[in-house]
Order: sequence, then structure tokens, then C-alpha cells
Amino acid sequence: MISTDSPAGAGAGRTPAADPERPSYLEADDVHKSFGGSKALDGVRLHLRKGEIHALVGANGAGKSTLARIIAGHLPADRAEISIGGRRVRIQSPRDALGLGVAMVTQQLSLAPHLSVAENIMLAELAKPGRLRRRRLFEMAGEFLEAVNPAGGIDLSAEAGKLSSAHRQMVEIAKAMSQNPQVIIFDEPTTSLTPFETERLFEAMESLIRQDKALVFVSHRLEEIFTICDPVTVLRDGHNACSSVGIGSLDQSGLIRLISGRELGGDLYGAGEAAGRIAADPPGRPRDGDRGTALEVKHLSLPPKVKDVSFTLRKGEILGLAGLVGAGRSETARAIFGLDRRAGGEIILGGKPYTHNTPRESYRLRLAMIPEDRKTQGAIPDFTVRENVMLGRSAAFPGFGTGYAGLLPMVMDIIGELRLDPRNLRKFILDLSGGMQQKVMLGRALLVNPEILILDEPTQGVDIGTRSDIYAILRRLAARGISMLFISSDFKEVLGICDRVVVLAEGRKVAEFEAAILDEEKLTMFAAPRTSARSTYRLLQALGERWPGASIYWVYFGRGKVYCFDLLDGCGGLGFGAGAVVDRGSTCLAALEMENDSTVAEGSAGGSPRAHGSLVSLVRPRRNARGRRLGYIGLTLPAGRPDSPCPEEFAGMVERWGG
Amino acid sequence: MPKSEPIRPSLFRRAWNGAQLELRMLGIVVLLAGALSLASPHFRTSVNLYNLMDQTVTIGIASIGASLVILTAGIDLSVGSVLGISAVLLGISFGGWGVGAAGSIAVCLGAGAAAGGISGLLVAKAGLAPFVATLGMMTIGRSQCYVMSNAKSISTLPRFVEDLGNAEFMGVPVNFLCLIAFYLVTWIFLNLSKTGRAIYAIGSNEEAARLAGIAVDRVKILCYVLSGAGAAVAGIFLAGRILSVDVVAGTGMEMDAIASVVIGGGSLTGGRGSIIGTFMGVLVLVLIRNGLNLMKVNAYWQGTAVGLVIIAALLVERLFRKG
Repeated sequence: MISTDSPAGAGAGRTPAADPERPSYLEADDVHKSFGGSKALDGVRLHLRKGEIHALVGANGAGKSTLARIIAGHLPADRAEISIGGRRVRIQSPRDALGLGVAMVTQQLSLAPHLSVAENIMLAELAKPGRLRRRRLFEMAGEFLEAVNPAGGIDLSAEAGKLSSAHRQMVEIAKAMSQNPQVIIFDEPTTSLTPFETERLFEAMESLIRQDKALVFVSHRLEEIFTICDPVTVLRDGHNACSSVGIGSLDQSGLIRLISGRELGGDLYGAGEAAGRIAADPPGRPRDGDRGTALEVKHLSLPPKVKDVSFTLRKGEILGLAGLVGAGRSETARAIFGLDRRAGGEIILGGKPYTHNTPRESYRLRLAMIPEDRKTQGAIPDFTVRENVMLGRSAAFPGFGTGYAGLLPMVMDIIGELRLDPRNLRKFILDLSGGMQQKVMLGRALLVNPEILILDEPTQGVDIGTRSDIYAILRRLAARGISMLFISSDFKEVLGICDRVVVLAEGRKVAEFEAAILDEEKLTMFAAPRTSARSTYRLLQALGERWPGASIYWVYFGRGKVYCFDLLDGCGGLGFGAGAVVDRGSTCLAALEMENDSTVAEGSAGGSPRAHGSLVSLVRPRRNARGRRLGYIGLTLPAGRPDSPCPEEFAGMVERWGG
Repeated sequence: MPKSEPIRPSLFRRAWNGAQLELRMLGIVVLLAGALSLASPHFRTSVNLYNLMDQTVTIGIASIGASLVILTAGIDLSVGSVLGISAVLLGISFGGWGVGAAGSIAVCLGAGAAAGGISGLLVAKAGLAPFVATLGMMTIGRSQCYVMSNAKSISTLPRFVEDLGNAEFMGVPVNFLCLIAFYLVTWIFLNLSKTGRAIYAIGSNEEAARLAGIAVDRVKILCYVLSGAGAAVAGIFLAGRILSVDVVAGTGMEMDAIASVVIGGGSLTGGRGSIIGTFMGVLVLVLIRNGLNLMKVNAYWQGTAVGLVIIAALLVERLFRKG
């Protein structure tokens, strides 16, 4: 799962590190925090210098968000020693933190959806005494927004709730900036952004460190950390795995080791099975062929979030549904399970059309779902674990009385399978840790004896130990023939656990692959909505106008394959299509000379066109303004045309359109 | 870096977009009035129009407070009782305690504000659900009406109050002009003051408001205080209009107020709604009642008609919001 080419690609745009001799500006030491009985943070430290982008990394549930929220005053610490600029401070509330110059950009929870963009940016202004000067407020909001989002396109008077998630993120940042902070904490800001928007965010962050701010970047995406951060602090299960380590002394596997505490990240998903799978299965994977179909979804639509989604789930398969936040993954799951009524499309369950979807009917048809938000959609807080487990079954199979006694043996079996202590059955569900609660949710689904299981973000807020338990359980279930639809924003997880991946963007299926042939970076590229790749699209159009009848495309290379993100097919016969991954040897690009698996040799990329059969092709790396390579732009023409492209002109056009 | 202006539509466009709901409501009010003037020849008589304006005042004032509270995602069920007890105290303090006209009005307003303040404290500081806190206040208030007045109606009122209820200016009842003024002031408060915008922010996303440093508790308490004081003002105008205070004065007023807010596009989950919408909601409610009276519909049936209109208004609004 480790992408090999990105640190190299990132090197060119690497942010200069802050001067290591500089004293720390903010020092948080010995931070303790417990929730109920479980310790979230047990004496961790984080030291920040001005002018640096400090990565705060850890697996889900390692405590990174908790630490960030404590420093920003959103959560009170049980105990902490925090000093800013050498002075001991107490941070008890967001107000304290803002007063001390510490602001936080949250995961989009902090906008008031009914207020205007300008009012949201200047929200803290409403808390200050004095008259409201609307014009001034709009002017200032406009300046802050312009500084973080020079591309514009956001109406200050629009309701914040109506913005796209990328724009909302920009508003969040502008809002944090309105307080003139010295320390800005970005809490997983990229989970809802496309690669292009992420680049813009990085530019904004770099301009902030040029203003000598101290930034904290909370993320679990390693590529991003290697691109923009230095140094790194890693948390693992509420402790420091390391503190302020220079990024230069780490490589990807070293960082994964620090995060997971294990030798290899791949192990997490099922004891090397992911790797073994690739080696064991010959191309074509015949074992898929003899599996029956468990669920078929045809042209499902539920506007505005779901527009056209089709896929087939085979028996005993784990199928990933990947996409950015807002791509329509959860909505698709909800429509299948029957939580929302679909507007169009067909669902075929076990060979029969499933027309009147309701959760109750789904349970009867042995289709179970674990919803996205455990707290609000899963656990019944005032019920014991036992009753929480039994709930789905008793609701779907009614009768007089609860029928709990008869179910108990089955519950005990499941509890054993989930490796939950039977003594927990009588406890209230909220007394368990997040990971255990998630196991209880899994138990509820298993009690209806499902043939199909929909899992929406099943590892959110789950500690790493329980996560690997859950992965192991899912693998065992799959081996028993249970099919699973697995939704997650953690692409590494999707690729690690799933057999195949269906990629959604803007409510449509854009691609479908065997998980083994993708890595996180390429999956992220496929998941980017087409609207966000507009500059690339315009480049393809411009090239298409210059060379009519040619095929113009945007591709990546790796693992001996061509990954095609976008294509204007003019001449045909390329051997690949948009949204496809095929062996390079079978395409018109077979004759390209490669420097390594993912990089085209310099001579070949810039030199004369390569002929393959009756086609001539020319490729050129596409780089953004920060020098990061975003795949290749290619041009293919039938051989022997009088206007065969001049390599210099082609290269010039690709360069000019930048990133 | 390429520079470009943030998109900023023209003032007219913004006003048009921002006032969609109010314009729709105005349309409904006009349609309703048109239909009524066709259905009954009495509708357009000056006596009836005068009556209409008169009837709008009490419910209109009570609805202002209800709007503020509902904008914070709260609810105030005690409006009717607080109106009753404030009016009873107005009469008792003027007739029995001899505190004079100004004194009795102060007692009345103070009582309303205090009742609202207690509800606000229970909601904001003690963390009670607004429904429960104000349900308690509603029951207590009505019971105290009976206790304090010995269940007798009171007709000793300050002269000023009586004049207020019956004065007119250029053919328009003065109390209706006061109502318009109250709505203007509230509109300015909600849209042009920091506290007003903080009310919207709290209803829209309370956590965000708290994290931005807004004194959420204080603003919420203020809304309940204003709701209580507003109920007391409504009580004064009601007493002035009918020249006496009855123990059952204001019964059910809270439901009319909530209905007005909701018909006017307010969301019970907070953050959405406008004071002008509420005013339109009040007009719709009053027009329907008036029309049913003019058309001599059986009084027992009027509640059914009003209920249907409330439900229909919300269904239509839901369609608009979806589409």
C-alpha cells in the first residue's frame, strides 16, 4: 500500500524547514485527558516553532484530534502544562485560546449553515462589544477570504450551508484567520478536498508560514505529510510515539511503523493477505467467476447526492465504495438499505428485484447495515449491550414478548466471535470504548444472520487494536460467504481490506477496479470530481483543437499499467479508456521507454513521438505550480499524418497550462 | 497569484433572493384578503378593517417574543399565562396597591420579564428542555392568575392604558401603529445588531457560536426575557382594548404565537425565519379568523379551519424548500 513515487514527486515542492535552532513558541507538555474510564491522552507533548508546519499524526483514535482540541480550548484537559512564548498559560475555553492567538480549522462542523459566509467568517466579531458595522464586516470578511482563496468564486452573502465542501473549508480557514492567530491548527482539512483543492490549501498554508505563523497539520494521509510538513509528532494510543522528529529522518515505512507500532502497515488489514492475494491470484482472478451475485445495483439515483450508480456485489466479496466526502457513498448505502427512498434505478437482491426498500424489509431479506455515525444512528445509549445487540432482530422479527431469552445462545456465539467479554453484556453501551461499541453494532448486524452487510465508516473513532480485530472479523465473515459493501474515507483502509473498489464522484460511478492494482494516490485522483479538474480538462480541449482527430489523455503509470483519468478520444485504438486501468503492454504506449515503473524516461517523454502499430504517441509530464508531478498528458495520432505533432510545441502547451 | 473579485450579486438581486419567503407570504396574505373581499361584502368595510388591525395587535406582539425564542431553537409555552398574570398584576397594582399608572405598568412589565428570565435561566443554566421549563411556567402563571385575582375580572385600569387601547391616529388605531413600530425595531435588532445575529448563529449551530466566543447562555436568557416582557406588553394592549382583565386572558395565545412564527417560515429547529415572515403569519391567522366570522362559520368549526391552514401552509413551504 506504500506508494513509492510520491516522496520523490513531493521533493521538488518541499517547504523549507523552520530553523531547528529556534526556540519553541508553543509548548504543550504532560497533557492528560480521559473520557469516562478510557484514557485518550496519557502525558503527551507537542512543541511548535514559528514558521513550521508541524504534522500531528496518528491512527484513528490515537488522540491527535483530542490533543488539537485541547490546545484550541475546545476541550478542557484533565491536566496539562501549556506555555506560549515562554509564558505559562491556562486554556479553558475557545475564547481563552483565541485571546492567546490559537485558532483551529475544524472538520466543517463549526459553520452556522443559515448565516451568510461573511457572518460566519466574522462570527467571533459578534461576541465582542460594540455596534455591528455590516459594511465593514463584509469588507473584512472579503479580505480574509481573498487571502486564503484568491481564486474567488465564493459569494460573501450566500448562506454558508449551501456552499460546496471545498468552499466551506476555505470559509473555515478564513474564519480562523479573522482572529489574527499565531498558531493555527488544521484538523484533517483535506478529507473532503480533491487533490487540486488540497494543492490550493497547501499554497495558503505556505503563505501563512511565510508570515511566521506556527501551523499544526493533523492528518492520516502520509503523502500530504511528506509533501508539506516538517517536523512530525506521532501519537499512538494516547502516548507520544515520537515528538518533533525531522521529516528528513523518516521514510514512509518508518512513519507507518511509528503510527501503527507494527512492522508493516499492510499487516493491519489481514496478516499480509493483501500482498499474498496479488501473488496467489493469476490475472483474471478465476475465483471471482464462480461466485454468484449477491446484490446488483443498476443506475441508482437519489438526487441531489446520488445520480447514477451501478455495481455488482458478488458472494463473499468485500466491495469498497470509495469517494470524497459528499460523493454520495453514504446516500447510496442508505438508498439500498431503505433509509431513503430512491428516485430511480433498480436494486436486485438475491436474484429478485427489491422494490420497496425499508430497513425492516432489508433485515428480513438478511441485508444489514452498520450506519455511519455510531452515536446518533447506532447505539441506543440507555440500553445495555445485550439489548443493543438484540434490537435489530427483535424489530425485524416481531412477536409477542421480546424473545430475548431464546436469542441468548445466539448472542453468546456472536459475542465470542467478536471477542467481547461476556461480562460486558450487562453494561450500558456508553460505558464501553468506541471500538467495543462498534463491535456491538457489528454484533447487532450479525444477529440477523446477514448475507449482505453494508458497513459505513466502520472504523471511525476506533482504536488501532480493535481495528485490526474488526478487519480480521470481516475477513472471516467474507470467507464464510457473507458479502460486504465497505464505505470509508480512509483510502488506505479501502485498498487494504477490499477485493474490488467502486469509485464515486459527484454521485456517479467513475471507475471500478481490483483493489490490488491501485494505490492511495491514484485512488484519490480517480475520486476527484471532474469539475475540480477543470484546468486539465481545458488543456485537453485546447490540445484537441490544435490537433483535430488526435486522442488526448491524462494518465499515470505504475505497476506496469496505465491509469487513465481523462480522455478525449479522437482516433481510437488506444487500448484504454477513461477511468480504466490496463496493462501498458497492451496499449499504444507500449513502446515508451520507462526510467522506472512510474516515470517515463526523459528522452522518451520529451523526445520524438513513439510509434506503436499504426499510431504515434507523445507524452509529457504534467506538473503543478509547486513542481509536483500530476501524471502525464499524452497525444496519440494515426501515423503518417502530414501535421504530425512537433514535440516542442506540444511540450510548450502542456507547460503553459501549468497546474 | 491571479486576483479576482469575490462574486457579489447586485443589491436588488440580494434583496430579492433574501426576501423570497416574505414575498411568498405577502402573496398569500394578498390572495387571502382578495378572496375574503369577494366572499363577503362586509370585509372591506372600514369597521371591519379597523377591527382587523385591532385583533392583530395582541397576537402580533406576543409573536415577536415567540420568534426570538424559536430562532434560538427554543420554545416558549408560557406566553399566554405570562400575558394573563402580567395583566392581572397591572390591574391589582393599580387598583389595590396604589402604585400609580407608571408604577403599575412597571410592575406588569417587570413580572413578564421576570417570568421570562426564570424560564431562560432554567433553559440556559440548568439545562432543562425549553418545552419542559416553559410548560412549568405556563401552569404556574395561569394558577397565579386565579390566586391573585380571586378569579374575578378586574376593570380598574390606568387611564393611559385605556386610552392606548382606543386612540386612533388618522383613522388607524394607535396600538396597531405601535405594533408596526415594535416589528421595525425587532427587524433592526435581529438584522443589524451583533446580538441579533448571535441569535441566528446560536439557532443555526450552537456549538459553533460557543466556540466563536459568543455568550450563548446570556443571549438565550435575553430571548426568554424579551418573550416574557413582550407577553406583558401584549397584556397591556389587550387590557386597554377590552377595558378589563379576565383570569383567562391570553389562554392559548402561545399556540397562536408559535403558529404565526411557523406559518411565517420559522423553523422550530432554530436559525431559520424572519420577523417579517412572522408578521405575515400573524396576518394570515387573523384574516382567516375574521373571514370565518364574516361568513358566519360555526365557531366550533373555526379551530378545524385554522388547524388545516397551518398544516397546509407548512406543506406548501416544504415543497418550496425542496424544489
